[in-house]
Amino acid sequence: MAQVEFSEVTKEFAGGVRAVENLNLRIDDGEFVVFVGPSGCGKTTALRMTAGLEAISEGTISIGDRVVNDVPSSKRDIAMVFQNYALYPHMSVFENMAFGLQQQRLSKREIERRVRDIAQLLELDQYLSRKPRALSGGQRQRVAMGRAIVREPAVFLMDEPLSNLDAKLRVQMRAEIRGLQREIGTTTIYVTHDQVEAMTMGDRVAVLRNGVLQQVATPHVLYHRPTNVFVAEFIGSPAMNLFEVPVDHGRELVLDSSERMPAPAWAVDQLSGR
Amino acid sequence: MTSPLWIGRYRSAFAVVVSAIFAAPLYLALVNVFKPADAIRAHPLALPLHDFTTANVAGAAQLSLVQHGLKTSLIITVGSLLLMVPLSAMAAYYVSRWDSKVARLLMLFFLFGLMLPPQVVLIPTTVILRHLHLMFTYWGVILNFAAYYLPFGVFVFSGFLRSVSRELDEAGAIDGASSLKIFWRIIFPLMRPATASVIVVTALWTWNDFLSPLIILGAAHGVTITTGIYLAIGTYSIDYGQEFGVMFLASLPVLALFLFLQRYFVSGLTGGATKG
Repeated sequence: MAQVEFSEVTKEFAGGVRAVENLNLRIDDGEFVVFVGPSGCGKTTALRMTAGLEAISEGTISIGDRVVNDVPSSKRDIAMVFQNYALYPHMSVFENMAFGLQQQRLSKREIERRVRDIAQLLELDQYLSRKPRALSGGQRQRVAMGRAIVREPAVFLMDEPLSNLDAKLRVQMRAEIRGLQREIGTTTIYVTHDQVEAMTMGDRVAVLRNGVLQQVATPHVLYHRPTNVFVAEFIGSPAMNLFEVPVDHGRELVLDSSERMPAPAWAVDQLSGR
Repeated sequence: MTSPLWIGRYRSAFAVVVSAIFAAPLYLALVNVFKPADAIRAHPLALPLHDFTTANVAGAAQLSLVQHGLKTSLIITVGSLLLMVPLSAMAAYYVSRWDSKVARLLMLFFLFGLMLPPQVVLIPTTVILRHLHLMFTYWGVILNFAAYYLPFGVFVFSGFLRSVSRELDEAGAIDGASSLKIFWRIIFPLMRPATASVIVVTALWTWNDFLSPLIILGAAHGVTITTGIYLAIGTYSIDYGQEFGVMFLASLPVLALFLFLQRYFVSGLTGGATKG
């Protein structure tokens, strides 16, 4: 159990591409936060920095109360679900799930117990001796989840875990992952480019664009009060209609010569505050 | 592109002729293994139909030169492989996974080693081995082979590694494994096709090599099967039956190894060429 804090985090790749720019974000213990944005927005880079798979150029990331900038992945107490699952192809489902536990030098009996418990939870019990190649896409996805859960890490990191599933299964797994996370209560960062996934799963959603955090809020707030045009256009399906209107006296929207509409209260505040 | 019919016919005739040229020595070697010496002289091309005998093989197996040679060749080949396969696999893992100047320079260095003909480095090698007091020892020959074929191993393994997803390394790291453990538990088992190819090819080269064991081991200090054949020809007049028996025994182990590993072989050599 741990909170995760990004503090002025910047990632600059060789050649000067800045994938993440001055990211500040605090994720509370047990919270499910979704990073969403178009491809190339820096969401996966932010996740990989948290995982220790990319170096942090500037700023700090802390997990729990510990700054992890110089802590290798293996010591960060995190688990990650990869887009392509990255299951070990030559190991059975059981061995895949047990591998992380073996690195922690747990007893054989303890490993056996924990793997079986999680396998049961994910309805994988009858597949424990199979190799990944003998599993369907959905089952592989479950094994990848199981491998993460069984370790009982402080933080789950998920990198578009559902994007390789068919549409129906994706919707089902969406609910299932969210349910599991609530049950276990582990802090989770979930990366996706699918705004429906983001809006249905996240306690809070962080919208990124070109490496810059645009807004982080609950789905409800994000939908009703986007901070800028980019967020407004990105969230919602079908997309929001946008057009310019003149504002009269700072409180009335002029739709055409005969029709006017009072501006919503929050907009009035924003306009007068300017 | 269509070609006239007669070219098609010539083409298959041409293929048959070329195949026959390649197969002829093999055919001669195989049929004469099982014929008595006088029959070999009289009818070298005939099949061993009514005079079939295993006496040549049995006789050759009795020769101490052959027994000793097979044993020495086995020690040297297995020793070289045990040293060279893990080292080249690990070197390839470093060179192809770590993106640094050192790694790139090492790769160039290995590629350079791949281009050196063995005869060029043989004399310098003997100088080094003499300083290490390893001339005329098994270790000397083994180290010579392991070092000389290391670049080949690195080349095949690093080609194959391109088809092994980096996400597996990352998953291993997040699961808490050290680099060494990631390599041995996750990456190396997945390179089995490449390992099989490296083993077969390197075993064939070390087994069949004549010059290195002749010079480094020295005929007076020990014979491999290849230098053994050479000595056998000189020592015992020309007993064709025995010669064929010896050659048969000399090629059997590598052939067996190839048959044992051949299902991995082709995929190992071409692995990494395209994304699987």
